[in-house]
Amino acid sequence: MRSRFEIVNRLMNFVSANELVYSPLDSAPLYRRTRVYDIDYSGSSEGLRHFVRGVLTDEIVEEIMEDGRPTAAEGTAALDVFLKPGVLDLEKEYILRYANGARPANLEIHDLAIIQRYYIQHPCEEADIRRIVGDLVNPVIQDWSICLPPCLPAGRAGGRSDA
Amino acid sequence: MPESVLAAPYETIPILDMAEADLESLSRSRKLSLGISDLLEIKSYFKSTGRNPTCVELETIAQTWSEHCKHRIFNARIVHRSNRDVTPIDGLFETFIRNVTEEINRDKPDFVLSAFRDNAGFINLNGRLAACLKVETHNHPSAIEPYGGANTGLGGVIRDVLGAGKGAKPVASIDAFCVGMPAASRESIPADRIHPLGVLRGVVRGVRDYGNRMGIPTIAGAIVFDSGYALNPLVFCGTAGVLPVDEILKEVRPELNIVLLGGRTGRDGLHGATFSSASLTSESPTDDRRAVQIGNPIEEKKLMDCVLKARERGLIDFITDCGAGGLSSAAGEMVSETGGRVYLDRVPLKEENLACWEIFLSESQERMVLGVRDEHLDALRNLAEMYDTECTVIGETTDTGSLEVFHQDIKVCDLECEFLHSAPRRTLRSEYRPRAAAASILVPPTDLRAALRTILSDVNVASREPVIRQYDHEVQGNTVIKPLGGLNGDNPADGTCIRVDGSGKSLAIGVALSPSYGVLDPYRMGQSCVDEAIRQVVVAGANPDLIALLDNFCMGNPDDPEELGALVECVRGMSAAAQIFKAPFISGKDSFYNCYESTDGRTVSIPVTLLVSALGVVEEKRHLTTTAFRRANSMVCLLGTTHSERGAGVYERVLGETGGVVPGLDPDRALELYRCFYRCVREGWVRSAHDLSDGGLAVALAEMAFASGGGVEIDLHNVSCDPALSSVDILFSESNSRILFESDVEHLGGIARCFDGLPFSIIGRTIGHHSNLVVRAAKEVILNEPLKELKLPWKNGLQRYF
Repeated sequence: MRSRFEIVNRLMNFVSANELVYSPLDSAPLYRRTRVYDIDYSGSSEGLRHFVRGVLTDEIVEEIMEDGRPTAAEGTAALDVFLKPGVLDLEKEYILRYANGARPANLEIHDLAIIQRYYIQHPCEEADIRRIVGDLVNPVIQDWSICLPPCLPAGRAGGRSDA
Repeated sequence: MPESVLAAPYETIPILDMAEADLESLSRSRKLSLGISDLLEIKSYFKSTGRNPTCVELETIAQTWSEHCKHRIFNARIVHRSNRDVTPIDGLFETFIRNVTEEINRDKPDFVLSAFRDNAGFINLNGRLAACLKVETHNHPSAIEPYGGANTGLGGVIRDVLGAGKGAKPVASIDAFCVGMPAASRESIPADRIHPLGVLRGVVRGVRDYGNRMGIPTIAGAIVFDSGYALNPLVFCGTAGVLPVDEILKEVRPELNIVLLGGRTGRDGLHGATFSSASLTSESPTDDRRAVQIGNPIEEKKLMDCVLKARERGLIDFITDCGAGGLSSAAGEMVSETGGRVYLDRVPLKEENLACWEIFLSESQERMVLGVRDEHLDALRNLAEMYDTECTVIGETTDTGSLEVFHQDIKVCDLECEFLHSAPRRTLRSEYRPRAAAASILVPPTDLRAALRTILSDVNVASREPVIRQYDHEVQGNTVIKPLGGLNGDNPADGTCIRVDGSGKSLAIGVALSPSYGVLDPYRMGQSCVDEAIRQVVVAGANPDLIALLDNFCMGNPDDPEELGALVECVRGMSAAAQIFKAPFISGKDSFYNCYESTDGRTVSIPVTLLVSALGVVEEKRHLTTTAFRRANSMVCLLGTTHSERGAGVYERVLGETGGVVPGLDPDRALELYRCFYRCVREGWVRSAHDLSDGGLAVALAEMAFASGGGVEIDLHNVSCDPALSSVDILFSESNSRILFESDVEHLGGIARCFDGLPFSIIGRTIGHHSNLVVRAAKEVILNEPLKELKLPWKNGLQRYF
């Protein structure tokens, strides 16, 4: 079975997306980053929730959104960046190692993928999103996908670096 | 080769039937980076054996003969033309590095214990303990994936030190980066290249995440911003180690077990050695992705702890790291004197279905190869289990003189070691034409105030604190001169020092890079780098007669005579300076083909670049000297002569001047100056000291004063300098061999006697009742600036990029 959990830091507000690029963007959009765990497991879904709450989340400042679909407000793009298969992800390795060692009751985690999700808030032009993707993603080791807001042409809503 | 080879699950490459064009095409398609003369040599060897090579053999030869492994440019015969003089050079390394070192070592036979024959060279600390330093480049991987490139660059050099002697303990790391200008417009960088700011952020994080997690302090470094590195950044990573003197010598003999310790083997970093021996192209990012890896410092930490404990228990006869070329290089080198067998089926794999050549060439990180006797195997296995790392016997050494490799019980490689390790010598042509003197454009020195502020905020001068603060420079608890110090913990050190447990001594480390000098005068760049690196450790308290050097050269295309000519001049300058300072080389590395080929056929090379690292011995802890002014009413003294030498310096670059002269070196007085300074340090007459480098006297003075809380007043009239120098020259000239230091009034008599006959001047004093930088020229105040205001742009110069 697979489940997705998005971990959102309550204290992290939208800040200038210029932090993501190497020279200022024209439309000065804002962004906020969350992380998504896509977990392949067998056993109890309640046990998985318990694991995500206890191990992958700091419940004082973070909240968990289940199913992992972008929770963006209208006009916000959601850019997912993730490592290509075969690229060493140390965080993933040590989560898996911990899960195998701790052996949570009724739960076996087989694999997981960690996704960095960037919500990019209006006003954002398509050219700026392209700039963000170009500066943020290294196609040698990373893939990406994007969910564009309806204000941008729907035909271009999505893509992968190696597509 | 037995007939059974023909039925093996590997490829036989029919080179015996190939014409030259086919051989070249083969080299390109398999990414062997072999030239036609190499390919013909290989063909001739296999013709003599009456068979074609297997893919494992061909790949092994390509890795072993690569520039990365065999330094073929530095070993090449070169016909060098400079103006009308033509000089044959029988190997740059032999002529200018090894011979010079041997000559120096004859005068101090107990200092260098090992040089050029192991993973790193060793110097003597106290008769019982030895220290080593190794610096490597990881340019090509870092250009494509900065985080992973720098990450594995540091991981690799840590393993180099771990594989030096029978396993030196890594005690400190250093880094140096050359990147394009951080404010470069996106449009000025080709779409397939990473922006310099992305490179810088990535490499800093890469070093941080590896070094900090390994528990090794990152104590020294340098960053150079220059548009010449926008397409080909340079990443130098270094590690210092400590080892008991009697553990330096290691020996391979027949019947040792070849043991693979550490991580598993996958398809990582294939063709890394040959990849680093070729230029980057616009296809590189996707084409060479397999040459890029992300390191696993936790795995390496376990491996390191296991090796150190195994060495302590006497379980290791021989050890080397698995770096470029993977097992083919590590095991190949290990058995080069004896011969050996490797069984690829025994190698623990990360993934299934690896071809035999992939297993043998994989550059998976965090692996070491050891030579272990039968009677020590169980103890080593127990240690490996305790440290949670894998230990596998993958073969044995023999007395056959051949490297034999088996896969699925079939011999897939049988190469005579003598052939494998005798790459043909190249013959190259180099040409150096001194650059025509540029038209002299001088900026009228009307506003020194604005000039100083602009220079202090320049990215090449501004505080490196945002980068340094990402590194743990305290871990292990021995960093006695930290990269940042002073009243507010933000004053930059010249040389940084680590105490060596159990020796009573400290190691001082300094690094110097001046690529802009090399564009105008590569010979003087070579001299200046040596002088600055030595100056940095002398200023920190090292004995100038106990300093060893490392050289790391990077350049574009060595097949271009003009580019190679600049390198030759630089090597000559460096070598001459090492002779002047009687400082031997103990290790070095070079990196070529740092050039970028765009889709439209344009080739862009980096400037010839030299990083000199100095490793010095601080004999007593009371000799340790830091760079911030310590007290009010101290005398400010300047050692050395100031010449009009602003050529390619910060003032020229920032203010747009041209026509200046690059700093040279006084062969008669440079070493004597440092020896006299050291005498003052030993007498306890030096409270603080700072070397004069980028930005000259003005920048050094400001940096010393920033951390003092008080002010400083000097008079340029008192500075020992050439006649008729302007105030701008005296303030911003970057002349070599100069040290600014603070001393108590009562010691001035002794200091003056010490420097009798040498250029030395008392130029001012530190002030307690104000906190301004006051500069007079013959008593007229030409600069009076609150240090707080000067400090702000200097401190924040890099902050905005992090």
